Amino acid sequence: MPTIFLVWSCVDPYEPVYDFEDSILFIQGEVSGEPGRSSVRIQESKELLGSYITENVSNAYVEVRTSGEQTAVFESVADTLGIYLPEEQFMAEPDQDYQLYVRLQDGREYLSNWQSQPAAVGMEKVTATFDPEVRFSEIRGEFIPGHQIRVDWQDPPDQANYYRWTYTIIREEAICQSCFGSRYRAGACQDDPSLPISNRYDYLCSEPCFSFETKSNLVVQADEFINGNRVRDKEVGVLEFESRKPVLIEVSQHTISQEQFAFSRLANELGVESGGVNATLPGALVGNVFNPNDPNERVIGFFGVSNRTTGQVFIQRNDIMAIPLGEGLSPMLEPPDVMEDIPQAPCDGPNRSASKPEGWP
Amino acid sequence: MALKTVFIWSKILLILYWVHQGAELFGQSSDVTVIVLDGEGNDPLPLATVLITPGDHGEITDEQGRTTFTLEEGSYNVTANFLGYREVSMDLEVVGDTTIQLSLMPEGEILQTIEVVGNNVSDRIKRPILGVQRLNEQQLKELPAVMGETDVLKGLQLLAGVSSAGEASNGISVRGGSIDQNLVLMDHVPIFNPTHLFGLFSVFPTDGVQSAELYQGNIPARFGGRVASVLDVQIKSPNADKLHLTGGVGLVSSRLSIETPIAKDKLYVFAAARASFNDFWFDLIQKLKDTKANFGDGVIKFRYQPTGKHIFNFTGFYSKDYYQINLINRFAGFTADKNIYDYKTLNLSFDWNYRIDNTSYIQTVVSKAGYDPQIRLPQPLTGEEAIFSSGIDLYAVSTIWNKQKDSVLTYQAGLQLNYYRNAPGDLDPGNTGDVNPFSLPEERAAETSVFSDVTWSPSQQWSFSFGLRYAHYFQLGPFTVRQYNEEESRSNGSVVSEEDYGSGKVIKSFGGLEPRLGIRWGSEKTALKFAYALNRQYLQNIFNSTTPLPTSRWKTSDIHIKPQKSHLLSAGIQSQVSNDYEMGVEVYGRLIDGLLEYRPGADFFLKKFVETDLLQGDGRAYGIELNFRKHQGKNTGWINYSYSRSFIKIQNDRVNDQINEGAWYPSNFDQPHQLNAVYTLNDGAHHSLSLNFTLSSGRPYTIPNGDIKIDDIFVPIYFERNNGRLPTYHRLDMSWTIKNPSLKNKRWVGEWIFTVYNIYGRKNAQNIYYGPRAGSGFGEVFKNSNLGAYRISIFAAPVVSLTYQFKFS
Repeated sequence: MPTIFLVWSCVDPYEPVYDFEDSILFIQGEVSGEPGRSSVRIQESKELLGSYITENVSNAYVEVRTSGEQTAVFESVADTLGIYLPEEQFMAEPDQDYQLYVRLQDGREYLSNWQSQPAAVGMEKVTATFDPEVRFSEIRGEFIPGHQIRVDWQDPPDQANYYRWTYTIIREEAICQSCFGSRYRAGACQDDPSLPISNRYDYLCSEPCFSFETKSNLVVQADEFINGNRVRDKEVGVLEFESRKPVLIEVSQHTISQEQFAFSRLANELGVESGGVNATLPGALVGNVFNPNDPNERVIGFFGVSNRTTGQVFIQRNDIMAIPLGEGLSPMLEPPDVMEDIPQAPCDGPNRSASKPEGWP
Repeated sequence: MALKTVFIWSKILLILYWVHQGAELFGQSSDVTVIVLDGEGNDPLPLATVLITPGDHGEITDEQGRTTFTLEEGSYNVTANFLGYREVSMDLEVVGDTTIQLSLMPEGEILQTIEVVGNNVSDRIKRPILGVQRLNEQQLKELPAVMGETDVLKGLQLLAGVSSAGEASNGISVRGGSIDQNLVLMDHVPIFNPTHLFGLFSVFPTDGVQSAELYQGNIPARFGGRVASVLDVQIKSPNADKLHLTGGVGLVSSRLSIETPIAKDKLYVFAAARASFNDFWFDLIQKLKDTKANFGDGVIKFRYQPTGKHIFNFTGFYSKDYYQINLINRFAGFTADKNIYDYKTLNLSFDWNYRIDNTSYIQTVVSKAGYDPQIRLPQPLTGEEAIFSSGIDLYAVSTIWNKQKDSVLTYQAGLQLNYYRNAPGDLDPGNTGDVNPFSLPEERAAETSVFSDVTWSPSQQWSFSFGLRYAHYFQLGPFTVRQYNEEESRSNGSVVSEEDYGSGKVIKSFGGLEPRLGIRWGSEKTALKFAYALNRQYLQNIFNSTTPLPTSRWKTSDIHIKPQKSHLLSAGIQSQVSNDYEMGVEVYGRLIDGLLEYRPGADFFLKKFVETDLLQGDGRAYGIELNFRKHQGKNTGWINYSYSRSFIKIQNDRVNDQINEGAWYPSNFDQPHQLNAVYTLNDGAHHSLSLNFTLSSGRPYTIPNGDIKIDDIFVPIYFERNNGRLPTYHRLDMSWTIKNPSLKNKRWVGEWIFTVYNIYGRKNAQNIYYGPRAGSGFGEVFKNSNLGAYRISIFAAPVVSLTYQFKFS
């Protein structure tokens, strides 16, 4: 019987329906124990010509206050990104509490509650275990192969700890530039009227090039039931077997506050674990940022102070007994030309580096 | 033994006396045998009273419902009555030895308007009962079912005012109430989880249900503790004088039941078992390779009647489920790769019926209900299991004195004591090494009640039912109680103090009168009825999901969670428009105080102080139910329509303690329009074909007010609850029974049941949820939305099943 129940059940895509509300402010801020990793982002929802957009707010005044009565002003990094950064060396101190203050150009003010920095907890081991059926793909209609990324750590017994994991997939790239309807010349894609706009040419890298793709499924855990134990094989991510090329996985284990844990857990339940017949009912994502002059104003946001440690695992995938899923688009190199050498591109762009990352053999 | 001797000698003397009198006065006599049957199930009614006038001959029936009189030829009036049944009289002309049969229809203790399929329409109209649905064994079997199984809960869902609240739900919603607002009883004992596998099947054994009554209006005063309805299921009372076997073999499950005397005229037994062990099929389907799902249940009932004055019944019921299904999300916070659900019910009841005289008896019941769900959490790579377990036990004693003074007045009084032990959660780490043992403190509570029901029918037109119940509830120690700052929302940060209460100490008590009233006025063909009922509920199931899991937590009322209280007013008219047709209309309105709701993201798993995640507010429901039925002939069926609404309001001075800004909003069970149509063609010999069609509004669900990207995940933003509605639900099913296909009447009788559920394969939505877009897939559906929306359908295609069932006697 249950067979029939499950065979007949299905999950179909359905046209999303929204009940949009505009002028909802989103404020996400994090102060890190590492220099260069603190930031605040401000956005506001808008309904524009019947479409819903989140508009970046780049003209606000942002500061982070400390219990030591110091203030760090966060400056907008660009006119349109809505991202605010402190000075480069700014980092959270363990003996301080922090509070976010935001004032918009129209005078509206927002505060977070006070947050302190949790102690960092190191990982003992990061492992990647190949599973020929790591997850079921609804689109493919079959199980697909991949690696489960797992961590071991020793939870400190004398305190309540809350964890969140992110991981970065580091690949060595062969293609450093793609041009559509154009050719790569003189360090940029130059329009070529002879090419249709849909035409794509890829250009090889002129130097070693590593890409960094950071992923998060908002995986969190409290130590309520594991306090003081050595925790083994906690799955924090999945790497699909898309290619036989090696990858370096860097896992970040963030220690966060109980409030940030609750916020992230609910975000995970609403955004990732929302399927299933027992999914948590949708609910308001209440954070710790509020308008002190109008507590009823709807603000979505969280300001937290975190600490992190990292661990790595390098995965050689050339001897795996499975068929790779494929990397997506095949390289389309510009055809050789007897008149000129096809240029190569430098390793430029966000989330790319020509320097070999630590941990890459 | 002494009682038995007295009983037998009394009977002998009575018979000798009548024989003597008859012989002396008239010289000629004839034997008149009277057989008294239960009109619903055609089962014999032992201990029924038969009076014959003139002459004031009186007798009680034996185990076969029989009694014999020796009468002089002439005209007589024969009257049969039995407590709880409507009295029946008939004129009899005695011209020689004869046998007559009288069928008594159950009267119940309260006003009734509607039966599902009544055999006697006029009797149904006369009964002063409002808001009762009754299914007997035969009617259940005639209903279309899923996968060859006839089912009490599925059958009830075809009635006005009863819905499933979506497929894969663990129970029924009655008039917009939540699932845990229904008290489900099997032979007097509550069933905490009445379904297998998310409501696909009820736990009631197919061959073992004698009757099922759903009280959704005027609940008798002997019942209490739930605000929406009472479903009272009676297991077949064994009284067969020889062995009867029934069973069925199907793709879904197989079952077997036996009814047999152990000591003739004294001790009888009925036992039924059902099992499903077909999950080896999963290996054939790649997606389901890691899926396991099996269930089984069994019931045994002994009936012991040492004398005519005493009947003892013992019922034992056991149910077990085991499954691991990908449609269920994993519990966060554990390093388990999967969650395995393993839960069981064990109920025991013992009742003693003592017949004081021909018009009264006392029934005393001692029972224990136990429900123990587990979640097994196997660790990755090692397979070592941590086990989460919880459990709730209810110990109950009740005694009820019943008196049927005459056909005008019936009354009943009794008292009941319930004792709850609720273990909300224990975590056993086993040999995992990662997980610590953890145990939540038990909740203990007692509920005492006294009650009385009176049914008074002073004339053919008027009938009244008065009920009064007083219940008092005690939250008992040991327990730790928090006090919170009243200026703030309840949270770990607003705790002012904690106080420990010792074992047995009363921490908090609640109580109050619960009046019940029913009035009937009308003729034999048409009746107007009115009812009022006040109910309180001290035990609730808390879950923050679309469907409660079998492991969802039970919560007794306490110093922070006050009981729910409901007032229900209903009125109706029922009319027999011809010999074959009847129709009815019923309206109702219900107000609830103390309705439970959940804070956003509420999580009750192994949480010690759940009050920080709970909110209480008001509920209101109202509706109108129309039904039209053809109940006789080869073609029978009914059609009913209900318009019903159900709303919640959670309002508080503190903004964080409000839902939807304190305004009324639709509850999860608000389905305004519902239409059910059932058609049965029964040739009376070899074929029976049933079709049923269900059409209803989709239930409310919550659609996002926007989205935000957190890390690299788009997360839907919700400010309101239940601001959308699932697509309209409709479904057509059929059931075709081929009876006795060999065309021979033998001791072994077999029949085939062919069922198709969801004939045209509509993909009815169990839920629609928002989540990450799967890459670039489904772009034509999701368009420019940052989020994907996904519709879960449980039965998305026709479900065909074939079952062979048999009877042997």
